[in-house]
Amino acid sequence: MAIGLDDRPGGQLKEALREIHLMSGLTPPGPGDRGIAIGVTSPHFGDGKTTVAIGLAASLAADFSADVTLVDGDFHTTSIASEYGLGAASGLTDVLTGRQDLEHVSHRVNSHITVIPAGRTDGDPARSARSENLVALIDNMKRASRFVVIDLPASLHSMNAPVLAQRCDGVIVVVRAGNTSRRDLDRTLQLLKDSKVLGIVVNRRKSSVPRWIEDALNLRR
Amino acid sequence: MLNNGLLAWLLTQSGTEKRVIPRKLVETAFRNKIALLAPIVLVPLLVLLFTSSPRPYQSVATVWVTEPPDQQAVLGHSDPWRTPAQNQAVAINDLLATRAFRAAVFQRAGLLSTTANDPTRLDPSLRLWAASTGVNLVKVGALSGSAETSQKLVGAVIEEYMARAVAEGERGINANAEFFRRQLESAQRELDERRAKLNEYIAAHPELTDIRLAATNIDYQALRTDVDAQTTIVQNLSDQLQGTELRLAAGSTGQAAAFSVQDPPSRPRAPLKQSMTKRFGLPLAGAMFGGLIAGAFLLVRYRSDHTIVSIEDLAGVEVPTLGFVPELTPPGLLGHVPIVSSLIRLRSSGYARTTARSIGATLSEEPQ
Repeated sequence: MAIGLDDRPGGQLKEALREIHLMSGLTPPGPGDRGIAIGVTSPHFGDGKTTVAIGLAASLAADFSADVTLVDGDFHTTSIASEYGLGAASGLTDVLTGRQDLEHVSHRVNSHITVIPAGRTDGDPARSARSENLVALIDNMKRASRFVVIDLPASLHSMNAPVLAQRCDGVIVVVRAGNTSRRDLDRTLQLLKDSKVLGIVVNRRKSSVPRWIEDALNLRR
Repeated sequence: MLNNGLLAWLLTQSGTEKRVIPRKLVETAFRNKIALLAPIVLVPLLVLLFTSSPRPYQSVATVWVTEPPDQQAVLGHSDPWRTPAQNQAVAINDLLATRAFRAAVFQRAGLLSTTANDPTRLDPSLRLWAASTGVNLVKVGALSGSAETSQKLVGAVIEEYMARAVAEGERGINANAEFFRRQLESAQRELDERRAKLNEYIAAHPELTDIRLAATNIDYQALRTDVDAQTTIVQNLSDQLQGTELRLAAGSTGQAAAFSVQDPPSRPRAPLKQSMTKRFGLPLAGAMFGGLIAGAFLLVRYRSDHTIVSIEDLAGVEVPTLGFVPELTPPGLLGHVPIVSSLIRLRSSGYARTTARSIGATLSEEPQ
């Protein structure tokens, strides 16, 4: 009996994220492997970087049974905290400024995923991003989890994004199909030139072309 | 593959150096399908709307035309290089181009009480024409909204034309007659004077009763010759005046002989059939024009869209494309309908994130 593909939105997303694992070289953890930090950014707000970061963290945890820390590095929107119902909880900025310790701001949401909110945004995000404490903090996270997924700010709106990206082992750039221009992508990649960009994810891709026409014209996706 | 190549080739022929991305082009076309289809549908409809008119009735009469004996046209200028029919068709059409003649025709047809207005302006479907067929046949026709009106108009055109031809002929003949009459009076006076001089000379020379003496008298012979010459002139003028008066008397008959109706104005039983050009040609041309507009619109939309749509938009980027995350919309009965799906998306803006988060739902909720 053949096993059908899951056509539900969750199933499609899962497959897309698996493709991202494969293409970016993210593999199941082996014994003694060091953790890796993956930043997720995009040229603009609303391109879907947070969605991809959440999905990536969830799929890494589910597919590889690995511990994943999802960090809200976007001090401007702090949307991960609200997505996980953490409200205005203390977070990354509080640790960097010494107001809290890492353990206190880490929220275990299930057996494999730990969420660290952005924290209070009343400080100076630029200083937080450039803080040397951040390097040590990410190292701590990598020791605790196989994967650290950091939701970075939008690159063309906050210069914290390139700075934070340099702290990561790899960066994924999310662009929104039919919305992000090639010029903005090129500028984003230019800003991230000192970071290791793993690749580009095209988000919210939809086709208005009927499948039979795609097949007839042999259109590439 | 062939279609793909053909599509790309067609667009690279537009003269722009930018590489064409077939996927993006087709995507642009389908995203704007309503805007692209609108001119292709609307332009022919507009053409039909603006060109549709009630089908007119046509009445035609055939007239036999010859040149009158004096080698003039029945009316107007006679071109020796044209046939009599052509000469008259030109004359009739020239007259039909004047407002006064048209008004007179309509008045004669009983369709207009005064000649103050031009009825062809009131009814654009009205059309009067004349055309030569062959050497001596002229067809006079009328198009109008009713069979009766068309028939009346054709008859009125012929009658009005004849009336004007007769009036014009009479005017010319009268002028000639008047000329000859005056010349004759003058010549007659001169003749009377010469005769009086001759008689005086004869009275003063009684010996001229002798024919031999008269034949040798030079003065007498000179006077006699003057009288004879003048008598000839008077006789010629008198003949010409008589001929002119004869033409005047027979004027309308002569014109009628030169312009005689062979087939009276027909009574159309049905309106004219609509031409294939008007029925199909114009809408087809409209559709083609609409297609051009749609094509231009598509090209502008495509060329002005600099967003990333397909993997080909990422050509030249030095980092790899990791994948495509599909647009996530809540499943529903009408989820595939664009407007409905947009509304659904608005109502559930966090749907994608919730879905992303739910991927880890299989994991134990409790921290280990």
